[in-house]
Amino acid sequence: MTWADSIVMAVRSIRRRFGRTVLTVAAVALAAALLTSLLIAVGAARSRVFDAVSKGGPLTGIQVSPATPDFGQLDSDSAKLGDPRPIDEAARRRITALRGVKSVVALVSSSVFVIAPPPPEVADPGREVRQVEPFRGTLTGVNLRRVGELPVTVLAGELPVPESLHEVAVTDAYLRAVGLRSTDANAVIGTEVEFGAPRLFARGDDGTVRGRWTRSTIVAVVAAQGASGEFIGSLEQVQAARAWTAASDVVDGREARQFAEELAVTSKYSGLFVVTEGFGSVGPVRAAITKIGYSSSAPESLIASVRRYSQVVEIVLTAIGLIALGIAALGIANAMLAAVRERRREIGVLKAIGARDRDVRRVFLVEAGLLGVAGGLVGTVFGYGLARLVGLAVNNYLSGQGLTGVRIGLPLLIFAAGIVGSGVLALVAGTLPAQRAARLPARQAMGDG
Amino acid sequence: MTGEIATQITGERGVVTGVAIEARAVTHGYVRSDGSGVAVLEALDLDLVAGERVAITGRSGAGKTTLLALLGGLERIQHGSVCVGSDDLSELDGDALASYRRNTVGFVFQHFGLLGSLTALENVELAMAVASVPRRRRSIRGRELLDAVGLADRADHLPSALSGGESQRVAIARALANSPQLLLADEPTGNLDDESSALVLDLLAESADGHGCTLMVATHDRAVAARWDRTVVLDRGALGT
Repeated sequence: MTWADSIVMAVRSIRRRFGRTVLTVAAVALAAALLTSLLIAVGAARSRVFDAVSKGGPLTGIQVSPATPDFGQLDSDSAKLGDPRPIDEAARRRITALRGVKSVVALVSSSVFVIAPPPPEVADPGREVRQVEPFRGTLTGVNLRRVGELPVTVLAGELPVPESLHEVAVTDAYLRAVGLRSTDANAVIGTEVEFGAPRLFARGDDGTVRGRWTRSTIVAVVAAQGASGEFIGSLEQVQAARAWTAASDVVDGREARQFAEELAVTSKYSGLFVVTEGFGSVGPVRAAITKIGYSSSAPESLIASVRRYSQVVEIVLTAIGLIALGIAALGIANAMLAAVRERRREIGVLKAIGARDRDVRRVFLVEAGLLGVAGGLVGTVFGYGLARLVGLAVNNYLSGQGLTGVRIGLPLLIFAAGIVGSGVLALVAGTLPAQRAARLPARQAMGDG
Repeated sequence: MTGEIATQITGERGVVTGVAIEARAVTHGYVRSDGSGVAVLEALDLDLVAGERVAITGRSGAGKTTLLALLGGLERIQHGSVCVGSDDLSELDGDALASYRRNTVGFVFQHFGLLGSLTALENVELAMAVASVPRRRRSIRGRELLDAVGLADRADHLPSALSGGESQRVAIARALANSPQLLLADEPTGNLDDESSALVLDLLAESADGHGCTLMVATHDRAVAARWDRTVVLDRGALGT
């Protein structure tokens, strides 16, 4: 008997016992749906938690600050800043060349005067937002083509186009500075802000400050860990501002000198963001950076804890799903055993006309496998839908809180594993009934007498 | 073998392709649920010439069905020997016995033995599927056989839509599918009315004649037994008179 004949016989048998088939498939489908939705939900939650912990950047990132390291900084995730120490090109190269370093993204910042746009309309009736006075802020420049390597999460809008001189993203520090909340993020998109790069001009013993004013459109609101300050723009934008400021005159007056010291650009880079090759490299690379003489921070302890807890949650939820699948497998075994009991005479007839034990075994195994695959297919699709629904509800809640939502992707691996796994489980569950059917004597064809 | 029936049967019955049967000192029994044994056949000797048509009669429990089961390879020989053609059944086991059933024997059961999930044609084809006959050839031969038993128009019907007589005719078509050398029928008319019984018996006779196979029909009905060349009476597991 060929495989094709076995499949035809199994399909016919399944169709003939439609009610039982539906119930058996439903049991497998429910279990597969439970397991699929749990795995998808756990995966999405884990990635959301890691996103939150790493602020959207890679989990293996290290923030390097322009300061000497404090004793014992390696015992803490946070940087403990010592005395200021400029990060120059040589330091950047040394850190880039460290073993375990995948990439290094440089951050450049400049102090600027800011004239905020008129306050936008906010959604809450009765809440009044007033125009703020011009203030001093920090504009951080990064290579916007590599912003994906930084711990930057877009809360609203889209990041500025690379090398743009007239687009910026603002951080929640800006929102606070202009009296807005994180839930108002969308309201600032499209508004224009004016930057004035300061420059000190000598006038007698004292000096006067003049700004190089430019306008930029706010195109995104971001949560950023690596970039301190209120604004993130292109490297070109910041370098132009720094060049203007750096050309300040030398003045003798006490106040002017103090202001000049504040403006002085002592470090080529305001920080570095180091991406390591793996989570295991974070510790050694931080130690090496400390040895070079810079302060660093990385959420390695936090991430390690989160990873441990998320693994425990994953194991527990997977176990729940597997228990459900195990129960479904028992359902398949029970249904198949009942089928063998009911079809003793048919099995006897099959053997009486010459079917071998393995032919009979194969028909029953194919039947069990088809039930499992059908259940797995329905279950994974249903489970995915369930996870999407839960994701929608969670995202509604998170967006109400002004937080970024979870991403429910299309987990093809979970799909494949759900279908194949259900099929394999059904085959295992069907082994005993199939074996029992194969061993029935051909004499069953003539009845028990 | 007795001289009277030792001659091969030819002529209007067509060319004989059947097998001779030689059973010697066959003893067979079962173990009851309480552990005690019960002998069904005791030191049975039986000879059939190739192409012979024999009725086996006897009371219920005389061992008719067991004898057919042994000759058909549905059970292993416990004691004694049974040779069917060149096959010594006492030496066959597992796949070899399945091969014997597939290639040598055609079975017709009292309860028809049709698979309820398959159509009449598929039931006939099933015997050929088990013998790995290519699908196209199966279909052609299956339709020919159904046509021969007068059921060409019922090919696509499920057994549940067939009458008892029709079901048994489908079963006969299936039994003939692999051109067996030995056709065994266990109470083939036991579940049929008189009209259907006559039709089925005619068909069995025609089939046996047309295919030249050896035929054994187990029946408790004297009228049915009288149709065949010889009647073998079983009485408590042995040949009676």
